[in-house]
Amino acid sequence: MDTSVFALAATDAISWHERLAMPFVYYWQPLVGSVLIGAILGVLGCFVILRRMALIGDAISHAVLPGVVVAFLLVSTGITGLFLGALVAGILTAVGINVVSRFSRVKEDAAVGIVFTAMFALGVIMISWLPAGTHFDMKCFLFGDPLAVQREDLLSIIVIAPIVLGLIFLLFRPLKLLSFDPVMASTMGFNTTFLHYLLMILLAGTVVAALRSVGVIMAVAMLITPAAVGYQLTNRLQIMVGIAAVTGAVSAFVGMFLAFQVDCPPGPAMVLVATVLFGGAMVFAPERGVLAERRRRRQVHEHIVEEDILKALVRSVKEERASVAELVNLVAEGAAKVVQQAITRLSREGYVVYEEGWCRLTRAGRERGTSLVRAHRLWETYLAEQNIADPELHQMAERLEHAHELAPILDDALGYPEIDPHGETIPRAGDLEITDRPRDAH
Amino acid sequence: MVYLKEERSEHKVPALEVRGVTVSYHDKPVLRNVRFSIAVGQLVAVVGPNGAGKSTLLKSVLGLITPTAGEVLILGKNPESNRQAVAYVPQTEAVDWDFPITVSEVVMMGRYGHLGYTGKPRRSDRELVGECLNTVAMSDFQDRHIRQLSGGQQKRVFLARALAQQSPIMLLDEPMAGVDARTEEAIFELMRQFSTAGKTLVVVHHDLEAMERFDSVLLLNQSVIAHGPVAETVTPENMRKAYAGQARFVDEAERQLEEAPRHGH
Repeated sequence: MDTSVFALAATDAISWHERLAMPFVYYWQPLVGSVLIGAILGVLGCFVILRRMALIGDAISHAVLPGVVVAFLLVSTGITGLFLGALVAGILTAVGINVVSRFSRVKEDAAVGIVFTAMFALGVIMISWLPAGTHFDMKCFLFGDPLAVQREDLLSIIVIAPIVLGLIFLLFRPLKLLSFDPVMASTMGFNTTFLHYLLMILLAGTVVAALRSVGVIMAVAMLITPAAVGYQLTNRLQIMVGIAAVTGAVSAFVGMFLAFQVDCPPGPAMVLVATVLFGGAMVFAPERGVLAERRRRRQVHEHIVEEDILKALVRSVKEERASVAELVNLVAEGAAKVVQQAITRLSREGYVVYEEGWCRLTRAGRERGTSLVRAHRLWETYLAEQNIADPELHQMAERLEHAHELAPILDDALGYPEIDPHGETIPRAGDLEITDRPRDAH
Repeated sequence: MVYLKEERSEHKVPALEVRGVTVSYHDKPVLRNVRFSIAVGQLVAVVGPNGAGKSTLLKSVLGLITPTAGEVLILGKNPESNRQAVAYVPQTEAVDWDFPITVSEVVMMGRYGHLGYTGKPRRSDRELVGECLNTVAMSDFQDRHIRQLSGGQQKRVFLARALAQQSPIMLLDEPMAGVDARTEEAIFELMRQFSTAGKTLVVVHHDLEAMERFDSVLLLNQSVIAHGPVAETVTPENMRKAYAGQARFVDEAERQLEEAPRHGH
């Protein structure tokens, strides 16, 4: 059997279909290896995406190819040679990207594209120079084969994991500063070039260790997706790193497990599990999620409808009571059902009394309604001073009045006006009645 | 007596001294022979049109770029060997407001320079961070994410961070950009407070209105047009020089020299 990482003569003989027929635990070595790789890539990925270097992560991963091939040509066996080759190629890529974007007109993203495709092409040509009889499995380089992970690969992962995680733990604060504010990092005397290349080296090293397990393309996915899950879920970098590590590890474990259940290649299964987790984080994240955003918007809308009802009741002449049908007409933004629901909430909170299709204000309701009219007229006065005219004036005030905690500040800034631009009295804070003149315009 | 003498002479060292600094990008000078010095405890505005080299000057003082000619002295030493002496407050636009970080963590970053690569914040660092947050009246927000702050609050957080660096000199890049009058007032009050406490503040400023609030003004357009007390510096003559002066023709000539071949002899 060939000892090279990519000459998969032994494993090529049996496809993953057949290998999946073996019991799950038989593959404990690949499992442990993939879980560790998932965790390390997740941690590294946090700094990669925060520094907006996802593309560079992609580039470094692909560009290790010529390094791996050269190492293979020179030393032919041994995992150490492969690591060195990959590190050199990784550093050359990072330096090359820097040189191109600095000394040419092209921006960094284009520089990344130029350098890494060149490195990759170089690697492919070098493969053709390999001595006859050696077999370089390009498919394995690109897509990995977790089930082919052997003792030597596991050992290399076990060696590199504590190095990467240890260095990140040790240099956590400078790396955080570098990611958040690189200018400040340099002004404080941190060697940002060193920190940048250290990240690149750790990335190249991890990618080599990950090659057999997930391959280059999957390594990029496992670098970005779990980190993105962490980014979506938290406001603290420490927690983001933790979430990314756990997401990477869980994706690897569940992916492997599912591969055995549904009979599919394990590498892609791991990536898809991570993708599903990201989809979940995108939709359900407590603060930044799509659902949370929609809930927030709905609450604002409901709040506005409720307040519009109170205002309509305060201003309705007939003893401050109105039928639901009248209210639906008066409240511009509310469909009948929305208005009905808002009335139910208002009566539960004690602002209105709702009987047999009629609404009547309570004292608390009248207070709140009056303060809204006050906020509305203050806003109109303020907007008129900004040279905004009707109908925008009224429409803007109609929306801004709901930010009524600003009313006292506005009042102060305007010098306590008594009359709004439409000639109507601005009720004072705490007033229960409004003196409404008949309006012709609105 | 000897002791007294030494102390006095030490005080005479300017906070910042720029000696004939020239900076060129691709042979095109951005700063020409810039020469000035700022005494300890001054609140100084750096004013000039776009492209006057204000941010290049800041970068030279911060030691981020090495001048083509001349030198910068921070309290008599070169910037590289006196890193912790200068604190920098970036423009609001330069900050990634989505970064997963809380208010107190941002301020703690001011301590990183003192902690080195692997140091952990001690109790004294945390106490200092608390004091700095208190000074800018942001203690109630210390666990908030930076995105959840108003524009004025965001500015105050970065002032607190600079304060936590305990540097004798602060450089502020357009701290008043995009803030309302109320916030501007608050920032001016804080800056004055820092300068009274003995700090030297160099403020890149775009607004010509509030000049009288600074101790002195440095009018810059590639070279120093004027430097001194506001009354003597901000004169119509100087403003014309800075904003519509000869530099424009020099620029134009240089652009032609670079792009077109020379005609005849």
